[in-house]
Order: sequence, then C-alpha cells, then structure tokens
Amino acid sequence: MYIYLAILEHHVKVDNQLKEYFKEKEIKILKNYSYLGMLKIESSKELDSNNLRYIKNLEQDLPMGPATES
Amino acid sequence: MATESKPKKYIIQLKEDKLQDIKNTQRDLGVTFTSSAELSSTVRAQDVMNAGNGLYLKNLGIAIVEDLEIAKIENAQSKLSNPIVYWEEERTFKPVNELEMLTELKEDLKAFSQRIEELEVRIEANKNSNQNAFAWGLNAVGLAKSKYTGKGVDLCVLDTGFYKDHPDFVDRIVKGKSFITGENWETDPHGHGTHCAGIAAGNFSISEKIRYGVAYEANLIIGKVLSDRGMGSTSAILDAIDNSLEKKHKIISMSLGSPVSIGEKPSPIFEQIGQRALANNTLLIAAAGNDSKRPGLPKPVSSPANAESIMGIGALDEALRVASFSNGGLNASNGGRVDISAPGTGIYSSYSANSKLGKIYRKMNGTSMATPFVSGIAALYWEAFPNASAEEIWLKLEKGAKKLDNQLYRDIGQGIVQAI
Repeated sequence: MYIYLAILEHHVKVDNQLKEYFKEKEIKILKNYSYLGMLKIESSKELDSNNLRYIKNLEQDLPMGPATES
Repeated sequence: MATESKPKKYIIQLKEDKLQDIKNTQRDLGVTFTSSAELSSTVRAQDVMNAGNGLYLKNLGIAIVEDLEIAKIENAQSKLSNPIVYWEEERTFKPVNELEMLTELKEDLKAFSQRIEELEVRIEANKNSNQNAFAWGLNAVGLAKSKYTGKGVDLCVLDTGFYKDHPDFVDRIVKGKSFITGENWETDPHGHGTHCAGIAAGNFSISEKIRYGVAYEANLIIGKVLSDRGMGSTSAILDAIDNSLEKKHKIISMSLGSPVSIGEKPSPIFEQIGQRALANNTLLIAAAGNDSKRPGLPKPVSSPANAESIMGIGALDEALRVASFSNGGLNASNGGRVDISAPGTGIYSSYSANSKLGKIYRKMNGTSMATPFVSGIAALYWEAFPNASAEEIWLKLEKGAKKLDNQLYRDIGQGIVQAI
C-alpha cells in the first residue's frame, strides 16, 4: 500500500464528484485536512499527480524525528 | 482477597439506524453485534456480550462493546465514513450515600490543601529568587530587560508530549492532544517535548533557583506528534497543524525535522502549510536541524524548516558562534534558509520524570532547543502587539535580532533573536 499526502488543486472541494473519481481510481481517502487543503490518501498502486485530476501535488508520508544533537 | 476486575464497557452512539452504518462500525471496531431484538428472558445481554461481540440497541441507535482498545474507537471515528457521533466509557451509578459523600469531600479537601501548599512554596521561591539567576540562553536573548511574559498568547509545541506533573507547572493550565495512536500527551516518557516546552513557556526552577523559560504566562498547548520513542511522520504533523489552525493558535513551535540533500527543493506540502498558517495568522517556527559537523561539513536546513513560509531556526553556542551541529542555508536559492538563531548548546530546562533518566531538569543541545527560544519570544512580541499579523511578528523578530560579528548570514540568518 502507498500512503500519500496530496495537495488539492485550488478551489477543489471534497465532494461526491471527487469521491466518485477517487473510487474509480481505487484511491481511499484516509483523512481530510480541511484547513490545509490537503488529503491523506491510500492506493495499492504508485500514483503520479500528473495523471490525476483534482490533485496538484503528491508526496509520500515521510518520517520525522526530534532535532536534538545525539 | 483479590477481586477480578470487570472488562470496561463503552457506549457508542451511531449516526443513524442504517445497516451500512452498523456494518461499518462492526468492521472498524473488529467486533460483531447482536441486535437487542434477539434478546429474550432466557437470552440476556450479559450472555451475548464478550470481547468479540457487542450489543446493538436497535431502538436507541446505540451499541455497547466491551474490552476494546480505545484507539480502535478513536481510529474508527477519524475515518470519513465514520458513523460514530459520540462514545463514552460506561459510567457507574450508585445510590447517594451521605457517609461516602463526606469521605469523598474530605479527600478532595486534602488534595486541594496540598495544591495550596505547593503554590505557597512556589510563590515564596519566586519572591526569594535572584532576578539575575537566568540560564545563559535567557541572558543572551536579553530577557532580563523584558516586561513581557507572553500573557494570553496561545503557543503550541508539537513534539513528544509533556510531563504534566512537573512541579514548575503546578500553577499552569496546560492543554494538549495526542496525534499518536495509543499514546497520551501528558506523560512524555521521551522527555524532549518537556524540555522544549519548558524553554518556550516555562519559568523558574525551584530546586536549581534559576529561570530557564521565556514566555511563562503564555497559554501552553501541547501537540504530541512524535511517539514515546521519538518517531513521527509528516501526516501526524499535518493532523496537529490542521487542529491548531482550527483553534487559531498564534505560534506553532516544531523542534523536529527530516534531513534533506544539497539541491533538494522544499516540500510543496510544507510550503502550502506555512502559507495557510500565515494567512490564518499563525506563525510556524521550526528547527534547522543538527546534521552538520562544522567547520568542515555544514549540511542544509532540514524539512520543514526549509519551507519559505516557515521560520527556520539555527543554534548558537555560549560564545555566540554557530553551533557545530547547526544546519545552514546551503539550499538558500530554494528557500532553505536559516532565518534567525538562538541559544542551542548546554540549554537547561524542564525534563520528564517518566523518561529513562528519571530527571525533571537537564541540559540539552540542538536546534530543537534554539527553536522554542524564538517561539517564546514571538509570544512576547504578540503580547506587546496583539493586533499584529503573523507576518508582522516574523518581521519584528528579524528586525529586532542582534547581528553577530564574524558569523555568516548563511549560518545564523539575521542574528540572535532578542526579547522585546
């Protein structure tokens, strides 16, 4: 499974049209960050934002850690 | 004689009495439901309920489950298809007994008296404190001359959590939320979050008789985005920032990061987050990272500090030189700059008694420590200029910074942050 963080195109809303489209593409919405205009999504295939409607940018969920000198 | 403890029960209210909602709930919680319609005088609720099977009260639209992890319910609730509108742990009801009430009142009174005593000790300690006894970092940022305390400014620290029982915070209301499944925000077995929060919004160490925190009257809010082992992910940070923007927090302090390579562009995700935050009047402040081995090997500013719209913080040592580990603006043309610097070596602050060290104070090094200095000072500025926008506060912080001789802009940005 691939987990992505996706930036939506400007003015795109998470409505039925978008949900239907994602269903067609077998993309599952895991979380809607409404204040940030982003989604956390899951797909069994690798995704490319150039081949997807509504999405401006895709990034994989990266690990983070404390910024303390070890 | 030991008594066997009963499994906890949870009451879950569903949106509607729809088959799909019930199915989704069963799937998400990993249990099956027996409908109340199937109960009779011989088959009672307790006969059908166990860890794998709950009861669905058809006429009420309510399910009762037992012996289930809370995380499972929370996880189900976070899904878009979530049919759960409310849940709570089963309450115990008992007849009012005057003697029991009296005992409870006495216990409450005892706890209250103990809290008053702790406050008295604290007030006395503050009164007797030597006003010059500041940790070196506070002196370096000119805190002694400041009349501001960050009063009323919402300052959110996204980190490993916070040790809520720390004695220096007994008189503070600290709110928080965990964005790590199955871990709470108020124990902080890692300790890093308690250290950072102490620098940003702590005050005075009673035992060491030294002040270490900047904005001690700010409203401290904790977002746990790093696990008890110090691991996190971009999505946990997004969860927390989305929540902070909704709550309109003024400052979000992030002593965390992920290293980037030379020439690597900042993440568009964090660039959009920073822009949305500024538009929402929230200032995001992040650590530049500690991957450098100076003087020979400086490394570029980490993500998310390398986003143009997020303030990137470098660390200084006690001689006010760039700290050997502090990352620099090697990807500046892509936005990966150090915007401003703050003390970041030998920084004394609060720590967590629940950590491996078991200490409630310690010294640490890192851009993690420099970041909350800037966050705390941002709170002082916001107290002084309550109507200023986030961008104006950013500019004021940079304009107020003290230039340092023989240090490169690439390494320390506008200089060392200064209190107002």
